[in-house]
This record gives sequence, structure tokens and C-alpha cells, in this order.
Amino acid sequence: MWTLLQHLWLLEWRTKYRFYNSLLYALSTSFIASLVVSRYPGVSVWSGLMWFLMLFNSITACSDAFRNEGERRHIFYRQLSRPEDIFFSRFLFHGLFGLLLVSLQFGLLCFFIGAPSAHWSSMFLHILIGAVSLMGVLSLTSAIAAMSGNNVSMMAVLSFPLLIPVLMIGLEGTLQAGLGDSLQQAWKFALGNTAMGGLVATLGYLLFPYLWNA
Amino acid sequence: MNISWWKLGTAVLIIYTLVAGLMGTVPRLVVLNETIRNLYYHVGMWFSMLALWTGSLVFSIKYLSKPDLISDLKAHKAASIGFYMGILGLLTGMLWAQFTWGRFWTNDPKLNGTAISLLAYLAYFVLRGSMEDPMTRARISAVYNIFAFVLMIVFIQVLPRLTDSLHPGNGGNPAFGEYDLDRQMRLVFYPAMIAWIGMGYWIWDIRCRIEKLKISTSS
Repeated sequence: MWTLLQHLWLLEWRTKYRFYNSLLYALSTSFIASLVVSRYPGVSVWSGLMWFLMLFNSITACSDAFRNEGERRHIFYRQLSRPEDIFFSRFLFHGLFGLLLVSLQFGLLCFFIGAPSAHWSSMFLHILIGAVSLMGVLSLTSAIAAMSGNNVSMMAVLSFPLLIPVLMIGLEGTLQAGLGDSLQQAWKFALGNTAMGGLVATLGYLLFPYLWNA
Repeated sequence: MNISWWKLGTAVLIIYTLVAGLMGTVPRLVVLNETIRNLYYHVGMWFSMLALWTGSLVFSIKYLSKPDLISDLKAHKAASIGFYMGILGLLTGMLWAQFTWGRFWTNDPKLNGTAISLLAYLAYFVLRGSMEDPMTRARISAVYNIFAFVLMIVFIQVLPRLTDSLHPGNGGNPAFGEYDLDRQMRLVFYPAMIAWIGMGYWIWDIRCRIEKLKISTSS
């Protein structure tokens, strides 16, 4: 599993395609946001915008996760490693990538339209937890979309209903944190999304082998 | 004559639900008034939907452990009939909401949860429609079905507890059963739930048999 994770990082490091793609995406969406939203728009608009951009950016980042591998490499992977390991390496890779991505997005949005509130650090924590859960759901749905041999639109159709729970819990938590609730008060939202992430990991562990072994 | 006992029971219970539900005595409550009768139908649709979707989950798991296209067919039909029951539940709920809460659609966590589950099952049907090969279709849609069902159930259970809901029994509202679901109503409510679940099962049974006949006549 660690070898696979290293392998994924290496592949990414060689081309840096996905990184630059997401960076450009985050940069341009934040810039567009600064054009349409006034500076210091208030907590609810700010966090709504943040989660919205995060949702689309993570879908774009994950949509080609399983597709850029040809048939031959698929067989190669299958002989070398267990499907659970493949899923977890993807999950970890996407999770780490998601952390990086939302940190970038958060920083850029702060730069362009100003920090959301004085409690930005606890908002940031909620967003980080949400990002890992989002990426977890996307790892499995991108695998399903790729195995069904379909395009990006299928990815969006499959992911949106399943992402909305994570999004709603995360958004609510971010709002409460931004309005000044300490982590002791908003802990249940953070816990809710952590539980979602755990659930997704368990389901992926159980279901991925069936998807993988065609 | 070949009549199954459960079909007879369901038919009798449905008639009982319709007659006793519309004509029986109900408590006079502020705001709710006569709309409380909707309890027998609105909640019944949810029970039926959940029962069918649970059945769909069971057949999906069964398919993954032992690939057999009949299980896939059963899972698919259960999901689609559950979907129709969900639509009916949504419509009856919207009517009820209009007369008690004043609007057809409110931003209630239960409503959101329902809307998202229905969307997830729509995605399931789209996913099925996108694949040609029956075995691949069965396998991949079974995986999605299990994934979606578990996430939805957790979400529907968790979210109303995190935020306030207008529904009874959530967000500090007392549940119906606590003081206003009186004995008279219970006498209709429990049979009604069994009746609607039986109805869903019956439709599902017929649909599965039709599909099986189609398969056997075409091959």
C-alpha cells in the first residue's frame, strides 16, 4: 500500500499535471469570486462560496483518477496488489491532495475577498475535515464511473447526491464556527464529517474488490 | 382458487385503512385538525419505500456474493418501486406541509434528506441505463446501490439530530406518539403501515414476475 502511494506521488510529481490544473482552477475561481462578491461578504456567503468552489474543484481533480490508466496497466496492478490496498492508496492520495487543494483555495479566497471572520482557524479545521470526506466519496464514485466506461458527466451525476450530505454537515459546521462557536460547541459537525469519512473508507474497503475484479 | 394469504391480508388492510382512516375518529388538535388523517398515508409511503430499498440492498449484496441476474432484477425493481413510493410520500407530505406549515416546501432536514435520496436513486437508474453488458451493469450498479443506501440512511438518521426539524420527534418537537397519537389512531396506524408495506411488496412481486416472463419468452 505504501509502495502504491509512493508510486502515485511519483506519477504526479513527474507531470504535476493535476496539481497545476487544480492550482489554475482555484486561482481563476477565486479571482472570479472577487469580481462578483464584494470584499468581506460575511460568514454565510463566504463559507457558501468556499464549499461551492471546493466541491467543483475536487470533482475536477478526481474525475480522471482511474481513467488515465490503460487496460494493460489495470491488469498489471491487479496481479501485483490487493484491491483494498489500491483503494486505500487512492483514498490517502486524494485525501492528502484534497488537504493541499483546500488550503490553497482557502488562502486564495482570503487573499481575494478577505478573511471570513476572526474565527477563521476553526472554520479552516472544519473545511479540512470536510475535504478529506469529500475526496473519500469521490475516490469510490470515480472508480464506479471509470468502470462503467463513462465520461465526466456520469461522475457528476453519481457524486452529487452522495456529496450533499458531507457538504451540508460541513457547511453548517463552518457557519457555526465562523459565527464564533468554539470547537466544543461545533464539535458534533466535525465529528459528523469524520464519521462520514470513516464510513466511506469502510464501505470502500468492502466494496472496491467487487468493482476492481472484473 | 389460488389466493395467497398475504395478498388477501394486504387487500383487507388497505380497505380497512381507507375506510377507518377517513371515517374513524381522530383527536381535535390545533393547526393539525383533520389533516392528521394524512399520518396513515404519508408515513405509510415512507415505511413502504424504506422496506423496498432495504430489499433492494439485500438483493444487491446477494448479487455481489453470488452473481445471478435474477437478484439484480429484483434489486432494480425494488429500487424503482421504492422510488415511486418515495415520490408519493413526498407529494402527500407536501400537501400536508401546505396546510400545517403554510408552504409546500420548507428547508427542513428531513425534506432535504428525502430529496437527496431520491436524487441518489435517480443516479442509480442513470448508471444502469449507461451500460450495455448485463453482468457489468449488475455488478457496478450493485456496488453503487450499497454505497448510496448506507450513506443515505446514516445521513437521514444523523442530520435531523444535528439541526432543527419541523417534524415531530426532532429538534425538540415532541413525537406524535408521546401524547396525541391516541389509542383510536393506533388501531388504524399500525395496520396501515403493514398494509402499505404489503402493497409495495405486492407491486414488486408482480413486476418481477412480468420481467421474468419477458426473459423466458425472449430466450
